[in-house]
Amino acid sequence: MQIIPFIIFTFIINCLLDNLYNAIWISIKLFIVCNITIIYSETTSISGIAETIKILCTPLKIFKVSPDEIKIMICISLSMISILKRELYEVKEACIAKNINFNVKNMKIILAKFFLSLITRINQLEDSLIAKGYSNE
Amino acid sequence: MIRVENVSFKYKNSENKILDNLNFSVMDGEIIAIVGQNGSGKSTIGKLIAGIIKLKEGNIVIDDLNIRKNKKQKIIQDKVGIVFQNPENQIIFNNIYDEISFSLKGLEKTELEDRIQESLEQVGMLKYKNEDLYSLSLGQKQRIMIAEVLAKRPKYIIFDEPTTMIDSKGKEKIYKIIEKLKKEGYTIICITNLADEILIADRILILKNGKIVEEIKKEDLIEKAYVFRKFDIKEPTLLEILNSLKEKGIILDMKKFTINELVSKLKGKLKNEECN
Ligand SMILES: Nc1ncnc2c1ncn2[C@@H]1O[C@H](COP(=O)(O)OP(=O)(O)OP(=O)(O)O)[C@@H](O)[C@H]1O
Ligand SMILES: [Mg+2]
Repeated sequence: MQIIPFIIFTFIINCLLDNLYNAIWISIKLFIVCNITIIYSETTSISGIAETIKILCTPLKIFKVSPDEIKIMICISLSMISILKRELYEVKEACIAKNINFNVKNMKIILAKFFLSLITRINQLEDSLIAKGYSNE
Repeated sequence: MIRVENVSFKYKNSENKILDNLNFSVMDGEIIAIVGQNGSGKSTIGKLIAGIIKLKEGNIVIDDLNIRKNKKQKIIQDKVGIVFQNPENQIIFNNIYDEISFSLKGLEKTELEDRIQESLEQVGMLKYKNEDLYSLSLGQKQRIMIAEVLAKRPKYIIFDEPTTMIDSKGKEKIYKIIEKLKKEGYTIICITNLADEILIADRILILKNGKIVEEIKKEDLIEKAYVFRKFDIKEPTLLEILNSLKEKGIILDMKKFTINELVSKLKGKLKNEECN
């Protein structure tokens, strides 16, 4: 429930800038949307999400966009997210081991390290995509 | 047969040559190990043969196909499959079926299912068919990656440090698969740093600074064990044992036997000794 402070923040801002009625209404909407997103991403698998989006995109067929291609694109980007997440954890743990605090002041070092190792990982993913027959030619 | 002729290679942003006038060939049905220290260019040669990076100098000829003159990457990739070190960076889908069919564009559904079934059976993962890929262990994920390559039915398979990240039980299973694949007639190039993977091979090429500095045949392994030490590569423990046995007058021939047979021979000899 990390979103609660965020909702309260939006509520206050809206109170100040707008009226109370709108503030409550927006907060409720935010709460519902966030929960649905969280529930959805926690309970379905990556290919489940991709499958749903594929179905939602089926009408795009009239523009000659193949839903299957969209599904593949989404799967690749989602697998990137899991690589990203894992990488961030590893960098974080390495920083802890080296006694570097994970705070804003040290962000520069951490981000540099993070992007460097991310690039290696992305290169590896790219190689394996080419090996699977999806070259950029 | 794969022939590598006068291949030199340099990455765009690097100054010196990663591969320097490389020459070797791989016979059909052979397992070749390419060993060398970090950064010696092992992965680069693997990627060149698999057509993942473009060749600029020299020739690589696969059967009758010259990679440099060939414009269609797909033709190479139907012949040569490659498995990388870290399965986590190769998996895209969450579902085994999706993952394997990802490499098999344009096949009919029944054919597709046959191939997936067959390749999963080859790596002994058929019973996990309906599991989530992300919930499998690293070794099992790597076996799925091998299945994905096998499903394309290539003739040549390149393994780029396939077991470096995997625990010893998982390693053993993958070695068994590689040995089985050799029996089935696949030609295998195994890029490695691990002593156990070296022992599977029929021929071992030692790479240093982009050059092949030594070539060892399986039958000469015992005599040439010192070569590994010379190039700072850990020599297989089995070789150490066989060498010290040889000093004691017990000679076992690597040429005639596989490792498992050697071990059972050793067991037999030990039993005889106990009787005496
Ligand atoms: N995409 C790239 N761009 C520039 N240089 C690279 C690239 N990939 C690898 N190199 C460099 O090329 C050299 C050889 O790399 P290669 O990956 O072939 O070595 P390796 O023998 O496989 O090493 P390892 O045992 O670490 O896997 C290294 O010095 C590396 O820094
Ligand atoms: Mg390598």
